[in-house]
Amino acid sequence: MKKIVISGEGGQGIRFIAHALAVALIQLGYHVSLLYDYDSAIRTQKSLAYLTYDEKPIGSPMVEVADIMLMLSKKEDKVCARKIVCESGLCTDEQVPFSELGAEKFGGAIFGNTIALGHLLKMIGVDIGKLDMEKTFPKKLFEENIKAVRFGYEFEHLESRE
Amino acid sequence: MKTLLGGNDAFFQGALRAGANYFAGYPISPTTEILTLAAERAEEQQDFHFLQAEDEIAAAIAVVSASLAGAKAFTATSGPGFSLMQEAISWGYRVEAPTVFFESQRVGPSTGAPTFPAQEDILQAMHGAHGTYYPLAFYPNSPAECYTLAVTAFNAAEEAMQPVIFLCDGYVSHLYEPVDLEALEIPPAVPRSRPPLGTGKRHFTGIAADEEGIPRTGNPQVQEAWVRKVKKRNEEVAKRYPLYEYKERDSDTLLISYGSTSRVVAPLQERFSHFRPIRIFPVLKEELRKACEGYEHIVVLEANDGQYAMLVEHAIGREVEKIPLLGGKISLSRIKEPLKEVLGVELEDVL
Repeated sequence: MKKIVISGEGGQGIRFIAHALAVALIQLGYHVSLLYDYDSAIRTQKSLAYLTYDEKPIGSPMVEVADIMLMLSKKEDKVCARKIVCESGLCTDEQVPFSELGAEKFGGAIFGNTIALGHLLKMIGVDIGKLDMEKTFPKKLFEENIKAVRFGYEFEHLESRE
Repeated sequence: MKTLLGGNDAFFQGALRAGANYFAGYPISPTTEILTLAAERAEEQQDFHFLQAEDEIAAAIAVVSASLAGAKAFTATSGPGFSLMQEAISWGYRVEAPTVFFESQRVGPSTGAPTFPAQEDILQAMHGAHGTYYPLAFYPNSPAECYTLAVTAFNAAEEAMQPVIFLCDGYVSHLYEPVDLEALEIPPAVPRSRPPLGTGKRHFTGIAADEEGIPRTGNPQVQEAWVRKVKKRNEEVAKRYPLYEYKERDSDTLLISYGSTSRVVAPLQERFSHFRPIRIFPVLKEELRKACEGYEHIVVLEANDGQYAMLVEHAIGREVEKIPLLGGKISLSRIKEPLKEVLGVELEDVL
């Protein structure tokens, strides 16, 4: 069983990342549970996605100790994680300038979340070559998102910062 | 084929499977997805009707009215909206309108802490409106169950000819899991029990009336006969749906939880016996009595301050331990300390 928490704030695409990741894992035959927990003030308030996947059916969808946490803002500090990947400056584990890379490489900071998704897919060992991309990603900005995912997936070879 | 489906989406798909063709509502988290789906459906299908009302009062009246006109009608709301709907729900009981009210609970009272989950409207689902009536309410704990139970709720509404409350909470509404809708076992949809407008004699009134719909407010026998009739019908329908889950373990402790709390305590279910009511109302008295026999500790875990626990105590005739999970966070770490205190055991291994 693997437990992942994606943490950020409304407007950062937390649900986009989590949904695509869940769809990818279902394609690979896993049982998946994805729970969204957010403040309905929405923008700039905390937004969390708890994702659990396993080869067996999943009991609790709540994650309190994650194997990996992707942190895009510091609205939530109550989740423990064995490994944290974060937007630069938010943690002392692995820091990646996702927003900066999104703006620099793809013309918008928002693509930082797609780069983060690619990075996450790599970290959990998903072979993205096996995924049906059309089923995994929304039609809107499809080509750009695919490129950003691939960029994030290969990112560690470029400039991983520990 | 399995697709990723959320609790709200699954309920809506289940409503369609049951034959629902009218939705009226007012947006409120954590149920707005259902209103959005209903609006999209009405745009695509001419035989599905949608109304975004000016508030929840109007929406609930529209739902009851649409039912009287022959539609399978429903709405979706949360605590504040559910409060506003109570008068129309009372009217629905009086005019025997088969309707489904989806109520996904969030932290209250008042606006509270949207859209964080709670289970604080259990007693309101039982008797939030005025007068003598007999509630029917169901509470799923997964998207798959939101789908199957939606069909059950619409069927029970038709059979009992009354509003049925479909309880939910913020976590179940926003829980997404892979579901193969075609593979689920679904009961056949019960057809409309009320003849459509334009057939027979019709007179609907909120006033105590006889079978012809003629007001008989000064005649206590008429009112009493009506109460007996609807009570009998409610009891007969409830007997068809004695829905619960009971997992027995070699333990002196029985945990009772429902909705998202029952999912969060799943790791504890390996160690302790567990009872999950799915039909919340009428209370599963016999089933609870039987399940509770022989346990030293009976612990009710719920995201309110003992609402269902009180009903359990009434049903089984003894006190139970209560672990309230308040404030919008339903997690094992919040259960660990109070459960340790109640049972005097370490729980490190389950976290």
